[in-house]
Amino acid sequence: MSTKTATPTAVESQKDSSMLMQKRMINSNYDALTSAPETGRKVCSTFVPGNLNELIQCFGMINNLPETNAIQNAMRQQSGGMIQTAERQGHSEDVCTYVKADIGMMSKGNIAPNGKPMPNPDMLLLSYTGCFTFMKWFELLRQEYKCPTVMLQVPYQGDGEITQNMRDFVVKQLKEEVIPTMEQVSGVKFDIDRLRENMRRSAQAEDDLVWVLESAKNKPSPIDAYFGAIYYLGPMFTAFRGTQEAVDYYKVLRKEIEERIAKSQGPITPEGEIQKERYRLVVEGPPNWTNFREFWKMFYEEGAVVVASTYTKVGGVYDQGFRHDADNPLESLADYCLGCYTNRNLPKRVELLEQYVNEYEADGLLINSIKSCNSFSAGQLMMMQEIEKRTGAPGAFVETDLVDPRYFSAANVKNRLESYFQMIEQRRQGRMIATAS
Amino acid sequence: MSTAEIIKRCEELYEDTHFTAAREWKAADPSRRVIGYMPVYVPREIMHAANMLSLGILGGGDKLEVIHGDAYYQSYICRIPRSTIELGKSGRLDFVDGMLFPSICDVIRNLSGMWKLMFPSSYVRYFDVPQNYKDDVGGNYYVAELQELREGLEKLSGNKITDEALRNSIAIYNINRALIRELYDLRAEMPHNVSSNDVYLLNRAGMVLPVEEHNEILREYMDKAAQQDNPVRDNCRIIINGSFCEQPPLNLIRSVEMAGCYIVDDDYMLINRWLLNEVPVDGDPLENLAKAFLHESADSAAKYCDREEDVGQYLLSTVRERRAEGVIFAAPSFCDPALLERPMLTERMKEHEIPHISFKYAENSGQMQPIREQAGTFADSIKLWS
Ligand code: SF4
Ligand code: SF4
Repeated sequence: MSTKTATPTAVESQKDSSMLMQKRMINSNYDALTSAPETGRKVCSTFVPGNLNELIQCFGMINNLPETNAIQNAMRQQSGGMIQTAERQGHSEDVCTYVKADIGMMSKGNIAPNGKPMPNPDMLLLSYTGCFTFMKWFELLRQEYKCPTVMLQVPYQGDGEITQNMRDFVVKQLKEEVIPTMEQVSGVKFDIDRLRENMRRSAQAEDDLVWVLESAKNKPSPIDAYFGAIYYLGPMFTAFRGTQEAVDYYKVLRKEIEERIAKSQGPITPEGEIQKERYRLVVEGPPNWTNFREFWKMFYEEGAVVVASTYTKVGGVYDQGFRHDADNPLESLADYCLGCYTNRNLPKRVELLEQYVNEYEADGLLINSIKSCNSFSAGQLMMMQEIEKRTGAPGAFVETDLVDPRYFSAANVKNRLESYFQMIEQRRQGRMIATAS
Repeated sequence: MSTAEIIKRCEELYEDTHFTAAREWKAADPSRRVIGYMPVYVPREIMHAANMLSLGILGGGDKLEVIHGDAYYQSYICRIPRSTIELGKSGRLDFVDGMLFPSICDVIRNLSGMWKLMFPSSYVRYFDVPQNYKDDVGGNYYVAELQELREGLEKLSGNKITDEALRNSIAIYNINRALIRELYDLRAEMPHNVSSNDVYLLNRAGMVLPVEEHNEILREYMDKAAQQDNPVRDNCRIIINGSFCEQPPLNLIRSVEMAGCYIVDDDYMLINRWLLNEVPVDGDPLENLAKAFLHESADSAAKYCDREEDVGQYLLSTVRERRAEGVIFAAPSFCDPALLERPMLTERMKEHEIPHISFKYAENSGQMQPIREQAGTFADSIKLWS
């Protein structure tokens, strides 16, 4: 049964505001990157989790994120060929496809999504947070680009907490490794007040972002906190945290959502607004990018709305209270890196999911298990069992990949989802009968 | 004991997935504790100084039937975490008081959290190591981590871990490391007398026995093996790389040798050789352990290589030292660290015209024929072209 109705005005109005703004911002960063040879700005490649955008900006550098490039290429159906190119060069079929998409992109001339050649990075900032693959990924890139590479090791929260030793270690690396390399590469002296300014703006934008994500507690939820939220997270997770543009963007977005709540409207999808919210879900794991729209459609066609997700926390778990703190800039950057979702231990991840299922009054937990990503995936079956046990809400498990189209089986995923929705329906009816009798 | 008898004992220890020897060790004295650890490296000296046995958990091999473990993992995740869960869930580790999960990859990292959920009363520690090798940066961090581990184990064992006890333990492990180095040298010198089967099983014995007993076994084996007079075969000399975590079945090692390859170095159970030189016993023991880790430890895909020019150098120098004629990259399926690093290492091999082949295995791989054929063809090609 389909509950969507495409209302052109709704789509248009959405496009007129935050969505267009977001698109313009992301494109402008690609333009800044590809015009770097003319403008002379330096390019710093780094990763999304634990990225130090506020710091990078202090040196006038531009932030290039290989995961985002892979996502863009996947959405344009380019990543499959890139991955196969990398595999032909000897990269294993077993490893993360972001890495292979990146290496394949390089072999194919490193063309940015705007169609222009991507300049080589001037430095690689290996923010080693939450994922082992990052480390070897940048060792592989260093071999190609031969540029200064700085490792920022972010210890894992093995016991589910940030210790002073961890924080001191990260701060020390920032002071003695990261900042000096940035000064050297950019030729700009570090100015801590500039960093504070950036961080102040980050915190403002973070407040609004949290408000937006938490708006999903409304019924109906005015947002989809997984598919839709990917767009909302774009500026925060990439090159805009700490900028005035990001502050403005989140204000506009918040205003839009406020209007949607006032009108009791559901989330906007590529085919218009969801008219009836039938299922409220929490989702764990990254989305599939090669078939992003098709995947999303399987949800909105059934009236399934994601009310909270963990993927939207890979670049910072702001809803649990963290804000960039201008008064303690380096310590706060350390806490930011240490606190990202995949840097939290499994019991903490389970707790967060449990909290989401309860607070967002979800019907269940869906796990999209990604073949590429052991950081997310190893342990997810247990997480599902734990959530079922603790909340009584049913779990479901689908398997896809990030940017490798070979691992998206639409029929399988759809079947699983349909049975899952049926199961939720049956449980509801069971509950209704139990209450009536 | 003859070498055959020593190896027979080691093989029994290897096959015993109930860890009877470690159980007996613990039962002999109520104050004793056992700490399990996973690959690649943990500072066993600290456990030893607390009167604890450190027990290497290297998965379940090809004999253990995995019943519970598979329910915890998707098909695209390696075997070792599922067989380790099997060991835990089936009660085979019920005598173990704690587990250490070193920072080798995201699978073991997440397993540490799963263990916390599965065995809430057990001492579970994710053991993070530095990827920054400066004394006052990574070193300071690491010393503090070692100190935390020390305090955790003190609490668990009820024993104070004094500096003196630590120095003593370092000295004992220095002997162990020296013996293992000697064993590897001996095999490289006379691989016809010291087979890889033997070296592997001797190494494995070190995972489950008290270090003092392991030292005795190693000494005795080497004294006898050196005097043997086995026929020298026309094998080529190769190095195995990539097998530092999930272990291949013993049959795989035997198959490679039978196919015409003398294994003259490998990265099995790196913990036995992780610290490359003697660790000083004078001075602050934790600092000494940290310095050894930072500046004089083996290379593996679990480590960050901070200078591009150093990537693969460790392997290259091993090839030279051992006069190896080729490298076999043998990694577990789905092993991120090994498989991500492999293209960089093969690149280095190509630059230096060192013959190499690659394959993947699982701890429960049954079919050895393809591996035997691949290794045999490799050995033939080396003999033909070298
Ligand atoms: S393994 Fe996961 S976290 Fe790591 S780079 Fe790949 S997708 Fe990202
Ligand atoms: S075999 Fe590889 S991927 Fe699996 S746990 Fe060991 S190091 Fe990690």
